Amino acid sequence: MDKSRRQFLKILTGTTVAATVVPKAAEAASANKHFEGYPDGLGVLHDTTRCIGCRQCEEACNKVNDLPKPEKPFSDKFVFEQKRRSETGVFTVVNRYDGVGPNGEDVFRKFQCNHCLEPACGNACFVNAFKKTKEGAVTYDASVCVGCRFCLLACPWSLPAYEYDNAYSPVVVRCTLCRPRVLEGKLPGCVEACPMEALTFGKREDLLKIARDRIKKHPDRYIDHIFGENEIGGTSWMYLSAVDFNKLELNTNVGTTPTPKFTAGALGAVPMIVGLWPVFLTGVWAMNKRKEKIAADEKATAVAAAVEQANAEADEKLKAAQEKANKAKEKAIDAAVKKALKDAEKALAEEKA
Amino acid sequence: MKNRNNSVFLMCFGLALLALVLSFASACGDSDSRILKERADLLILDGMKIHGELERAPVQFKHDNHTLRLEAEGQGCSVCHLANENGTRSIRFMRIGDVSGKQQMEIYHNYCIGCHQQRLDLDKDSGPVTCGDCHKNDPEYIAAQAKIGFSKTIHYNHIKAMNYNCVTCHHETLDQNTGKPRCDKADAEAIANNCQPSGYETSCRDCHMEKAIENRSSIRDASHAMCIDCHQKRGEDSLKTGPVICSDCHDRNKQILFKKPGKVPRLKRYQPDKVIIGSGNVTDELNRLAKVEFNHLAHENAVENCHNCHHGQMNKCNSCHTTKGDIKGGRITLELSMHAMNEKGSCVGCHNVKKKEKDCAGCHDLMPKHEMPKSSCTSCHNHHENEVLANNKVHDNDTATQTEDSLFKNIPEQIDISQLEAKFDAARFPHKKIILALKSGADKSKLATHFHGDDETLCMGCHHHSPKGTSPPACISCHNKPFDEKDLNRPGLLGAYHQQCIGCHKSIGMKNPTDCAVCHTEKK
Repeated sequence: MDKSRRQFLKILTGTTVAATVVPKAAEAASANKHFEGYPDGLGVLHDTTRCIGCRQCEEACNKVNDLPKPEKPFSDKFVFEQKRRSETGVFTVVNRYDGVGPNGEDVFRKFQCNHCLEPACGNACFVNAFKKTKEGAVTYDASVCVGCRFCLLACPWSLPAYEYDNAYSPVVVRCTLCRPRVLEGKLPGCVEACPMEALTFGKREDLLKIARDRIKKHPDRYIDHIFGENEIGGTSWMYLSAVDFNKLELNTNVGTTPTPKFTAGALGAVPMIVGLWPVFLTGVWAMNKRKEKIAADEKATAVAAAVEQANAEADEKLKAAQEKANKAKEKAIDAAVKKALKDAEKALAEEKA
Repeated sequence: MKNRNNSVFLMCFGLALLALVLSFASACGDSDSRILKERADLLILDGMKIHGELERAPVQFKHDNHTLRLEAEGQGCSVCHLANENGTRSIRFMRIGDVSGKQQMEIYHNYCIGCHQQRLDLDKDSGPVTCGDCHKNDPEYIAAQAKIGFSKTIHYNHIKAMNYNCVTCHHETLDQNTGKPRCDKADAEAIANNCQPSGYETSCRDCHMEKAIENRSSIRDASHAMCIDCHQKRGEDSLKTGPVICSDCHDRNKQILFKKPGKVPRLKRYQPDKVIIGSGNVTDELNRLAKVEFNHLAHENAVENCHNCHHGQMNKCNSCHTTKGDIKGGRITLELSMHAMNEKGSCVGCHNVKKKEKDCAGCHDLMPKHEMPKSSCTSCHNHHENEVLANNKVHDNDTATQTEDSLFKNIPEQIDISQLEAKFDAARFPHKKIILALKSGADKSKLATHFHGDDETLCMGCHHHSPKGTSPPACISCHNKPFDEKDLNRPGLLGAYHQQCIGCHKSIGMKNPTDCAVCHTEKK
C-alpha cells in the first residue's frame, strides 16, 4: 500500500513538471510570438486617394493570368454602379464608393486578396492548400483542394471566391500576387499597369515607411492609419485612405490578433495531452489493478484461514461431544452394572429368606 | 418528482429566451442612430451646474419660439428679462444678479410652469407643465449657434446707420456722468483706465472677456444686451434695424442675408500702413534675425475681421507673444505665433489656407505640407535696419509687371510626350498655354507675386526638386523605373506624369480630370 502511494506521487510530480514546461514550449512556437512577416517579404501599398478607377489593373490581371475575356470591356465605367467582388475568372475588381470622399467626390478602391501575414484561410484549410511564402504571397494549391470552402468563411473580409459554375473541378479564385512574375524579377500585373502608381510594390517594411512618410507630408490628405499594418496580425496588401476605411468596405473591426492565434493555445496543448494523458491514465489503471489484485489475495488468505479455523473448531466440538458421549455411556454402563448388581443382591437376599 | 423537473426545465428555457430577446432589443434600440436636429435658437439650460450635480437632464429651451409667440401677442422681452439699474436689460431669466441654487430653481419652475399653466387655463397653446416634458432624457435637438463676428462690413453698416456716433457702442469714450471725453490721448494712462479716446475706439473684446469680471459683464452678456436692446428700440421706432431673435444672427443661412455694401472704406483707428515686426524690445538679445516688413494695409484689405489676427484684444502681437513666451500669450512664443502651420491666426497658417484656393492649389496641393521651404524665410525677413524706404512702402517683389516676352519666349507651345507609348498615342501637352495660365492666376494675388519673387518660380511647380532656372530638367531625367529601393518616395515616369498632371487638374477643379481621352487617344 505505501509503495503504490509513493509511486503515485512520483508519477504525479513528473506529470506536473511536464505540464508546465511543455505548454510554454508550445506557446512560444505558436501563440505568444508575433509574426511580423518573413524578412524581405514583399507587399503592395494601395493609395486610394490616387486611384482614378481606370480599371487598367483589372485588364492587366486578366491578361497576365490568361483569364477569359469579360462581357463588358475594361473601359466600361458603368460596371461601377454595382459593387463587385472576385468571381470565376476575376481575381481583382475596382469598386467605386459614391460621394464618400472628403469633398463629396467618389473614391475608388481595388479589391483582391490581402495576403495576410498569418492567413486565416490557411488556418482553416485542413489539407494545407494555402502556404505563406517567403516572398509574401499566400499561394493556393488547387491540386489538394477538396472544395470545402472553409477558406471563404474564414477570411475576415470574404475575399476568396469559388467557381460554383464549374461542375467537375472547381477551385478557389483569388489573387496570387503574381508570384511567378515576382520570382522572375517582374512586377505584379496590376502594379505595372497602374498609371497613377496607386499601387506601390516593394518590401513590406519599406511600404510602411513610404506610407508613414506620405501621411506626414500630406496630413490633410490621409487618415492617419495604414490599413493592414496590424489588422488581423498584419497583411501584405495595405491601404491608405482619405476617409474612414469602413466607408470603402474595408472592415476595421477585425482586431489585431492573427487568426491562428485564437486556436494556437488549444491546439498547442494537444501534443502534451496526447503524450502524457495516456501515460497518466495507464498509471492510474495499473494502480487500480494492483490494488484489486492485492485485495483479492488478501481475501483468499483470509478465507482460507477462516475455513481452517472453523474446521479446527468443529473437530474440537466433535471430540468434546464424543468424549461426553463416551462418558455418558460409561456412566450408564456403570449405573446399569450397579443396578444389576443391586438387583442381583436383592434377588439373592430374597432367595435367602 | 417528475413535475419538479419539468418546471425547472421550463424556467431555464424561459430565462434563455428572455436573455436572447433582451440582447436583440439592446442591439436594435440604439439611440446613437438618431440624428439630432440643429437649432440656432436652442439654449441648454444647465446653469444649475454651478450649484452641484444636476438631478435631472438639462432643459432644451427654444428661445425663438417664445420670442415670436410673445411678439405676435404684442408682448416684448420684459416679460422674462428684467431691467437693470442703468436701464439696460438683464439677459438672465427673471433675475438680475446671482442667486442661490434653490432660488434659481424656484424662479425657473415658478415662472416657466406658471406661465405655461396660465396659458393652458386660457386655452392658448402652451408649453410643458410636467417635469419630464422639459427635462427630456432623449433630446431631439442640438444647439448650433454659428459664431457671429463684427466684421468690417457689419461695422460699416452700423456706423452708417448711427451716423458715425461711435460713443453709442464704444461707451468708454465718454464719461457717463459728465458726457465729456474721459481721455484725449491713447497713452498708458488711458489704457490703464480702459479709456478709448476718440479715434482709438477699440474692440469690445478688449474689456469684455469670456467670463464676467466683477461688474464688467462677459462678452456674451454684453453683446446681447447692447445689440439686441438697440435693435429692439430701433425696431419700435420703425428705423432700419438688425436681428432680434437668435436664429437671425446665429443661423448660418441667415448670416448670408446680411447687407453687403459694395466697397467698405477702411476702418480708421490710426493704424499704420506698414509695421516692422520684431520682438518689440530693442534690448532683447534674441531679436537678431532681420525683422519683417509687414504691409498692414494690404492685410486689412485681405481679411474681413480684425480678429483674424488680433484675436482677443487689439494689441500688437508681441505685447503678449514675446520671444521666449509669456503667460499672457498662452506661452506661445513670437516665432510660433507667426509660423504655426495650421493656425489661421498665424502668418504661415493663413497663407497656407490661401494656397488651397483654386488658382494656387494646382501646384501647392502636391507640395509636402509639413515644413516651409527654406527659401521663403527671406521673403518676409527682409528689413535692413538702416535702410529707409520711401512712402511707407515695403520691399515688394511685384512680379505682375513682368510680361510674357521677358521670360516665356523660349517655352515650347506643345510637347508630345511619347516615351511610354503603348496602349495610347503620344500625349499632347500644351506647355506654353499652361504656364501662361499659371502666371495669370498667380498675378491675381499680391501674396503670390510677393512670395514667388520672379516668374521662374512658377516653373518649379512641375520642374520640382531642381534649381530655379530658365531651362529646368525634363521629367525623364529623374523619373524612370518605379519602386527603386534607393529612393522609395520617387514615382516612376508613368506615375510621375499622371500624379503631377491629374493631381493638378483635380486641385484646380477641372471637370473630368481623369478622362484619359482628353490628353491621349487610344491606339486603334
